[in-house]
Amino acid sequence: MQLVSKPEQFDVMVTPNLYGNLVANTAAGIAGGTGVMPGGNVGQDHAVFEQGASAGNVGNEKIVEQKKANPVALLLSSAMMLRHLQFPSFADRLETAVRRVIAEGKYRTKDLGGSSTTQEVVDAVIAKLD
Amino acid sequence: MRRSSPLLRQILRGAASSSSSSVGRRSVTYMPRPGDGAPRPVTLIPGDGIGPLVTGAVRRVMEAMHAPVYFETYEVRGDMTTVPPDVIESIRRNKVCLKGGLATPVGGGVSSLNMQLRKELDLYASLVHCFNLPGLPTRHENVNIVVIRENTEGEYSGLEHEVVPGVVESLKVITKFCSERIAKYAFEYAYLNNRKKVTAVHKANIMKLADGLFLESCREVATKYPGIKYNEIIVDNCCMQLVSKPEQFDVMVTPNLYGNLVANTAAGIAGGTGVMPGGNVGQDHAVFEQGASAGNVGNEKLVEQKKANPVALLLSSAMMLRHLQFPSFADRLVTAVNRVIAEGKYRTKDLGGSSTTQEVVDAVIANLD
Repeated sequence: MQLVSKPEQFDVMVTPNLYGNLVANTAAGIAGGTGVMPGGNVGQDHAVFEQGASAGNVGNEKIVEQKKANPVALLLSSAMMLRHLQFPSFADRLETAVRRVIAEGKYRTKDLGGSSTTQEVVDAVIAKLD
Repeated sequence: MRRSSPLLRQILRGAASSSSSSVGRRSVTYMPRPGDGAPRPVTLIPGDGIGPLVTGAVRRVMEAMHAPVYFETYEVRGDMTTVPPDVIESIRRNKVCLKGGLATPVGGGVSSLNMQLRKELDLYASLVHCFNLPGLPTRHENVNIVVIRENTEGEYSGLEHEVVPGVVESLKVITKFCSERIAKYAFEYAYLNNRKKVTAVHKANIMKLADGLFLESCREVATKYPGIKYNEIIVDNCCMQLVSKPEQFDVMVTPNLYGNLVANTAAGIAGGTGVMPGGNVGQDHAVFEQGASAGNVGNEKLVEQKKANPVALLLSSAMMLRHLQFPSFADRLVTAVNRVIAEGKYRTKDLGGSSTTQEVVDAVIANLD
């Protein structure tokens, strides 16, 4: 309830497995949707980066057919991956370009209120790279 | 949901500057490995002159931030004949060192301890970042130069002899090995830091063989980085261009002596040697210290009045934090320093103020997020 009424009170949240799944998807939902939140999985020796939260996205047939999936979440996760690999400058460039595209508002997929395809969003990100 | 346009503008501004100077922007895209927060040991050499003052400043700020570093301190003075072996041992173990300053006596046949350290640990690249600090206007705007200087040979080979009384020969040694690796470092630096141009500084019109070899190595490496522009400039023209149109330079790669001069000149035009960060790096070790140090390290008056500028070493210690993979602490430190400089209230003499080192450090600590 607090998440959907006063989310700004939260900073880092540590949860057991199930709650984490629910809390993460809820938090992703209130802040912009699972199409844009980055994340990953890490252990002592390895790291696997993927979309932060994926409710309502991964298995959605229609998005696959129309090629309208939102690439932002995985792009931001790959920026995390670049930092993990110690290439911070490339991560910065990627994030800056993605932020510019989102802020501009011209190329947005359906979950963000637009109608662009994945390809159009990617082209826009590439165009905005420094 | 609609975002209000002031918020949009702030996001755009925050996104446009990839440094963390925008207030309140939380960076959440670091995923550390378990155990990355364990404190790391760093060798600390306060040195002499203003060294102890400025390293003391770094220690205080690190403590205030609870940064995950702890210092192993060693006493080294510029008038010792060699760097004590336990210091070298410590740096070999810790891989990272922070140095205040070691004054090198003029003449007298005592070889510089700084050079000894660099040769012993093969710290073959010296890096100085010269840039305008926000709130500190200088005659030139838009200065953002990184000088990458070969650190082990050239005019600093230490090979001099008196042929006959009154005639001295000084050998400048340039090798393909050293020239190639410094060129590689410079281009790799440019590539990894999204820099667009590398300029090689030389005087090959006179020293055709020595500087010619240096240039040859730079040209070869340049062909492997087609996305990065490469040009060459003769050192005297370079100095003139630096003081008239410094914004034309990006990354500069130089042999030893020219690098010393170019770095100090670039530091001078952009705000002074009291604020520019830098360090020395080799394959296995890194020693961070003030970027350029002309007019600072041996200055007696600054030491007495405790008015040395700690900014340069604070920014170098932020570079060190990034080197140790603690980017968030580095960001906090740089943000706090930038705020203090921009505010303008606590500045040491070289920046036009009259504060003591202590006052500047207190201000930085007060401005930490």
